[in-house]
Amino acid sequence: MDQNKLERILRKTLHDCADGLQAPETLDARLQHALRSDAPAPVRRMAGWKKRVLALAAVAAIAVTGAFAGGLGSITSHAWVNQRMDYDQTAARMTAVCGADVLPETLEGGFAFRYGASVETVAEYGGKSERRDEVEAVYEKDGVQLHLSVHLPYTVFDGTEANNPVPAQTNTVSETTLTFRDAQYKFVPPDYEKTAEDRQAEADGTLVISFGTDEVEYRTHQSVQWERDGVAYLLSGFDTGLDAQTMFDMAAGIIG
Amino acid sequence: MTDEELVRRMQGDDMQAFDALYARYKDDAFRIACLLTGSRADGEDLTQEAFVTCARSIGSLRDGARFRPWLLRTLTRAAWRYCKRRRRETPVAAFFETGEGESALAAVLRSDEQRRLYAALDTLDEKRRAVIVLHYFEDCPVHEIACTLGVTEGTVKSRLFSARRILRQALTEKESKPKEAHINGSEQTGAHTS
Repeated sequence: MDQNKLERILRKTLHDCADGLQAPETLDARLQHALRSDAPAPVRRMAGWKKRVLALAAVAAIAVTGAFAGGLGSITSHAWVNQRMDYDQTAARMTAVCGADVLPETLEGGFAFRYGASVETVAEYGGKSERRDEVEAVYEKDGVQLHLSVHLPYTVFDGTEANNPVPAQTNTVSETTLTFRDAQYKFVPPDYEKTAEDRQAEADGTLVISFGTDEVEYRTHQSVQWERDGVAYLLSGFDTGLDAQTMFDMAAGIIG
Repeated sequence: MTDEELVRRMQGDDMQAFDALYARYKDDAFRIACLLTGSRADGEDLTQEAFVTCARSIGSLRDGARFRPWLLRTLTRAAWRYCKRRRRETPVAAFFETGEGESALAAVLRSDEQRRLYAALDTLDEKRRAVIVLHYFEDCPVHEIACTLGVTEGTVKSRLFSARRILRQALTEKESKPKEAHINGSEQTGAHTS
């Protein structure tokens, strides 16, 4: 079948299926109710998630080194939910924490700096713990947020965590290795018991389970990580839809 | 009144402006949501979720003229989350009115070729399905899809290419095995049963 014919049938099929559809009248009432009530909605919920999202970004940092696999290691982070540093404050804090001087005002693709936050983290692995100060810069474009986390590398991990099963893609920019991962997260309540399917998916590297939410929810987490001049960087976000090349380009822009 | 003006009013807490935008785009959003999910009920849920998200984060939209692609982007992301949750187990027939099932499918998709194509569409992953819907239903050019989905144009082209290859292969394979399908008593009518 040639492409023209395929495309013609494709268009006709999609239009035959959907052209006659109209949004039901009940949707209007549902929408008004959702907007005027405190019913859970993605954006409203994000505010309450602030602390958790920061923590998850840190979990991702360890995830890319693999320590989370098998529950051997963890990173716990703490930050004030309403903390907001402007660009100059964030850049200054970044320099003070790890000597980095690379805070861009915009990222490739049009993501603009919105605010920064100072985060305290504690990494634990193999019976050891290590405290770190991190700086988190939040970028946003059309409602999609990216978090740039900058800190001194953790030393508590000893390399045995290299068996991370989450598939990775790598790229090299200015002699710096960039590592991209697109991970499926399953957020679960603290008392959640993993199923056999969960354990298999974790072992296969297709799922990362994170405890602490009120209900089970699935989200995807895209991240690119690198180390340069003794500083660790993690650029990440949930449900961004960004692919590896796009995030590599963003990282390259930060590296300069 | 333009989208840009309505968005500006919304950013000033004018909810009547939101009502106008909703009236303008509700059907478009609902149709795309149904195509993305393969289900009217889930299409309704996603449409609601997308409008609520847009209403509550309208302050972050800098260019009001881009409201429609922003809405579609929000809708597509919600659909991806939905598809990952459900792993696309919804039968094709769920797209049509409950109870009508296969007969409704046959009434809308008149040719066997269309029904087979729709069944093949239902096997695409959510990202390929999204670019197919935006390109062939919405007539969005590649650069606009890239902007809507937040990926590069190369990624969109790659997804379009691989999706077309999958669909073509599905149609060609079926075309080459009509007798076998008939003998097995499982002639494809488009009612996907995975």
